Amino acid sequence: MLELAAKFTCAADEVWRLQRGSDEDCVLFQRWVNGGERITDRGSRQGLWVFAAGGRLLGAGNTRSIDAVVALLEDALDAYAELDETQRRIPAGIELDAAHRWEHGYPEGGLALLRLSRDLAREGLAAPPSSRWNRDTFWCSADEVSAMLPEDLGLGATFELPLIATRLARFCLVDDVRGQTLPYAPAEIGEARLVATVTHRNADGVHFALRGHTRATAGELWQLGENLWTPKRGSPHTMECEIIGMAVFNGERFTAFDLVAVGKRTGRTQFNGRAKDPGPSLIGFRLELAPPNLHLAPAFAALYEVAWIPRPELATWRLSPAECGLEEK
Amino acid sequence: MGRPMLALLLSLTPVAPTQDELRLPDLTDLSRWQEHLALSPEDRRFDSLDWSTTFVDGLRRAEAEDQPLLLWAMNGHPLGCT
Repeated sequence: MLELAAKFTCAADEVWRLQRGSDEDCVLFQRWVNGGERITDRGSRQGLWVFAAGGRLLGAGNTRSIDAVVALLEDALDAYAELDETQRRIPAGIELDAAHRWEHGYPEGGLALLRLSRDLAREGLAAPPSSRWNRDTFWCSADEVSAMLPEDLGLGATFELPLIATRLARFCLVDDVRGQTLPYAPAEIGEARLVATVTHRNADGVHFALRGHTRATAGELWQLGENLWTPKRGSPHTMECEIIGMAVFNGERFTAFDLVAVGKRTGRTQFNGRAKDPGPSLIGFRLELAPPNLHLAPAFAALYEVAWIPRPELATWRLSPAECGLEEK
Repeated sequence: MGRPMLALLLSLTPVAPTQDELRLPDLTDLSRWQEHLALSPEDRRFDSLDWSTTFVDGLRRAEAEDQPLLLWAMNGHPLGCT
């Protein structure tokens, strides 16, 4: 499969924006997958799509069947071989750069973490790790980081990191192992603490030990208003985590930031695949600095509500621009 | 169904622990937990492909590389959170 996939240029993207948005790249995607027309229905276009750069749709599918994907890719390669030079070129006169993507808020010089979530057995380290996992990212701006660090960073200095702790509890320490989940509202956070202690200093910078605890409880009432994430119905769910970690700050930025959180989860959200697994069960999280070239936005970047993450012209993609009256139908 | 059979079935049915019964494991060894939670080479096979992280970046590369574009589009970015 990997050998076959290497014959393609591979890209991955979030489909909701592509299938509902009005930026040129969204319109292009919609026309290419929808017979030349904008998408106006509410159906999902999740899955695999194969295009020539000129716009010809060479194949599509949304399946976990390896055989079906192999057949899709082989057919697409055959179809591509039949195309002429013009059909392999991006059509002239198209402005491809997106007016808005959440990645535009990437916190240069700040803290960008890659987060892994994984189901854990009750036995913890004594049992093999689960094969179910998911990834997300976590952001803090450079200004937020410097505002959190005290002037006194002498050996043994101890201080709280409330913004990181709260943002972790609301958006990051969430049960998305088996599917897309929901963030917590500020009022649903019972506790969010992360304490840093200076353990030593050397040429690399100031070294911290991190320790924390979070507790979040969501009831049936959705408390984050009308937005992209508003569920059709609320479902009670909880998360309580212990956190340990270490970090190194070189005077300008963190050069290391490693966290592990182990938590107890209960309940479910609309799409997180826990309908038959209400728990309680254990869940683990691992966070580390994201590779510098990985600018993927956190799933809940739209709910960070900070000025340094630009917002789109439209408040939500729940309705298309035409449905909002902001674009001619 | 007779009572013995019912009792047997009930005894074999996994029962989730209560909130109080389920204890968080000891969390003192950061590096062991990091290793335990890390993705295996098997988990990361898809990472061996050179993924562009947007449709547009992929499209530009597909043109430059003269290859078809394979776009993986999901609710939630497939390389981040799905």
